[in-house]
Amino acid sequence: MNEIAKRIGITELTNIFVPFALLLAAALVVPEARQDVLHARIIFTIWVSLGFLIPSVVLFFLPGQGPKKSAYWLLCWTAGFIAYIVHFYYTVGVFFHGSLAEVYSAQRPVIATSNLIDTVWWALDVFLAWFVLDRKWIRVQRVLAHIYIPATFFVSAVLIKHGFVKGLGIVMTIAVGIALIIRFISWRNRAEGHTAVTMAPPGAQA
Amino acid sequence: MSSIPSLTRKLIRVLQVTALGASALILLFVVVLLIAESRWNRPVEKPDEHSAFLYASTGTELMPKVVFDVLPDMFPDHFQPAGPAAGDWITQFGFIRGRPGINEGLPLGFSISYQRPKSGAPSPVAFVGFSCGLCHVSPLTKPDGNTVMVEGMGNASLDFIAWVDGVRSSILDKRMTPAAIGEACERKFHRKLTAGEKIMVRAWLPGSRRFFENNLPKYDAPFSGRDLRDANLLPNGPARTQPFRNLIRIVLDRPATSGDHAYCKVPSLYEQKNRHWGQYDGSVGNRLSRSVLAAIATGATTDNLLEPHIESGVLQAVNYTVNLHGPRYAAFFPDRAAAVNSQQAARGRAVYMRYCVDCHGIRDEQTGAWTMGRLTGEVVPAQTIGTDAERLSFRYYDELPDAIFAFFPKGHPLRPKREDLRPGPKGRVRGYMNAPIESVFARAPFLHNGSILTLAELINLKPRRDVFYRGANVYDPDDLGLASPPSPTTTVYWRYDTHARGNSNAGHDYPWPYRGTGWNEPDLMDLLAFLKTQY
Ligand code: HEC
Ligand code: HEC
Repeated sequence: MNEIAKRIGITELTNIFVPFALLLAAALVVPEARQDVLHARIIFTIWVSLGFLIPSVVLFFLPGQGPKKSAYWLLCWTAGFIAYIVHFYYTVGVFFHGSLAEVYSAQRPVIATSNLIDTVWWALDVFLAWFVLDRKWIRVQRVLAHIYIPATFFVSAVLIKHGFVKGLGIVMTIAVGIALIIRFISWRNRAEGHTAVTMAPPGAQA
Repeated sequence: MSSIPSLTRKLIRVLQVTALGASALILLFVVVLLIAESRWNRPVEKPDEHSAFLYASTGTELMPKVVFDVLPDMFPDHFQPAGPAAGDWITQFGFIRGRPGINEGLPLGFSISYQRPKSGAPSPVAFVGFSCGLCHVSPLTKPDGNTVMVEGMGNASLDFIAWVDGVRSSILDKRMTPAAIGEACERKFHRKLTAGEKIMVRAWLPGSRRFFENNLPKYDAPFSGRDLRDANLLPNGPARTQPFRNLIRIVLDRPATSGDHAYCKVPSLYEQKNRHWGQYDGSVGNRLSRSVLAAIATGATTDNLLEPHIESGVLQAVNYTVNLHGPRYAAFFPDRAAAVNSQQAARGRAVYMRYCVDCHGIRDEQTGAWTMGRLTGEVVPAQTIGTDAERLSFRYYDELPDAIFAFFPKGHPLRPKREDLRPGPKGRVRGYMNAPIESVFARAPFLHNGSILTLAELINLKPRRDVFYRGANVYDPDDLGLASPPSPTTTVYWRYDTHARGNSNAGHDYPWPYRGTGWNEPDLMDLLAFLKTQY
């Protein structure tokens, strides 16, 4: 385990794991009562994924280096990833019968490819974040992953899809936008020699 | 506020650990459930072709078996339109009664599978759906009262659309609740619903009801009770459905109410190897696509048709129809067959060779194979053949093939080829196809709309009846077709008025119009005798 992972205490774990486990369980069980079981599972799991992706990206871009902040970031980033993998399993593994050929014939190649990149990259970064000591290249790819993955979600949720997932996509866009603005202000303030705007990382007061 | 009393901290810790443990357990439980679920859909052996045709699911799962068993008892008003004295729903809607020990005793044509409607998701309890045998096996009742089953013959007594209305009425009926189903089960089987049944009934009922409710604007409210037998309200009647109207509803999402009178007799499916294009209008050019579309029209989805059980069942059933031989007249009516003398049959054959063979072809006595005529397989324009044209003139007739093609996702293994659908690149004649007429005596009632009861009337030996009654008609072995009582009875109840739209019995005046130029009674009697020898 690396430094970030070691900062996770039982409080942080509880605060993220409990809602994650309950939401994921619901996303898998509620569809049982629907006629389109598989379709509902595919949709509900992506909701859960987005639900955790949003706080993780927001935390990532907010200024500040508090231990709680990075612990929550890692937990949300991981929870979003696990829900995404479940979604991926039901889409590619079940709906498309595990056949990439079927995926590519049903989706536009750009979309299909970028979904695959999401999967691999997200998996890689979660692995690095838990198990590999911090290095410069890791930080660089992490920043890129935090731009690329939300960007693909933006394209599919906000631009292509409709309904609740579009709402989530818009929330993500606004939240990440605000986080970036705060980051920018804090960076400018520091650059201008003012005292930094100190944002207490979530949970820091506990 | 610098220190929280350690007791409180401990308490919080305990709560946190409990919450973590509990939520982990819930997640674990769900995972176990999903693994169990993947095993519910019992891996049955690939059914042989014959049993696939009779019993296998076509992806049209309708309701849990326990509900299917008790529903008619819960709603006699929806399932016994002629009243309780006129027999159970199996008799009243013309289904074929099952036999104990075979397919759990269900009436023929109902399948049992462990998957849920629409999604094909696995179920811990059995669901009931339709097999091909529901429509494509018919009872044939001889004048002595004995009934034989004819595999491949379109079910002449099945009042399918009326029965579906009965089912819809029940599912939409607010008296239908999981508790009421449980009570009905106790009354009938003296047992409570199992845990699996309870869960599935609760999961199925709201979804199914929502489905029928959402479809009300397209399908309109179902009829019930005595209305189910009223030909003015339910213009299909026994032996006929409107598969293309359903396709319009499903594929184009339109109600198809404005003037759709395309009533189709359930066809006989003998020796499908003898035809490339199928449907009365020759609009579908691939056997598998025909069945896939039949399944979609009766409620299967593009998703669940890919469930391995369903897909292999449908493929096997289709294979069964390739070589399915129809019956011989002599097997059912040996005395009458023996009474046909060979000179008469030879004279009749000559008439057939002169007036019929070009369009329909004939069986080669030596090889047993069907020899195609000069024009067999071609589509005759409706104006030329002169039979009822509603089957060819419904709204969206031209748009439907493209819509069907688009309905299947790209890359879907069961997606029909566009050139296999007409109107399209392979032709756009609106007419009826000159098809082989294997086992011609066992295709009654005749023509695509079932408007002519007997071959004697079809060849204009006898005048065609304007009005007759349909239901469980007895077979008429002399005129070759169905007998009709002069007025309705409890079993032959549905008034077929050939003047109503879609019901015309005009046209196909071969060899001659009734008492028209060339009409010659002895030749026609010979032709009828010859047709008795044909299979
Ligand atoms: C609900 C009743 C119903 C069921 C169930 C059903 N069919 Fe049919 N089938 C029809 C009707 C009605 C038509 C006539 C359609 C038309 O051309 O108008 C038809 C037509 C066909 C045809 C074309 C026949 C011809 O002469 O061109 C084939 C082949 C066929 N069905 C096979 C099947 C198979 C195989 C199954 C099972 C997978 C099946 N059907 C299930 C009602 C049914
Ligand atoms: C010009 C071509 C043509 C000729 C000639 C012709 N038929 Fe037909 N026949 C058809 C067509 C087309 C249909 C389907 C019409 C419909 O369903 O509306 C048909 C339907 C039938 C049917 C009903 C099949 C069923 O399953 O309902 C029978 C039986 C039949 N013909 C027998 C004959 C006999 C016997 C002759 C000779 C006296 C004959 N036909 C001459 C084209 C022809």
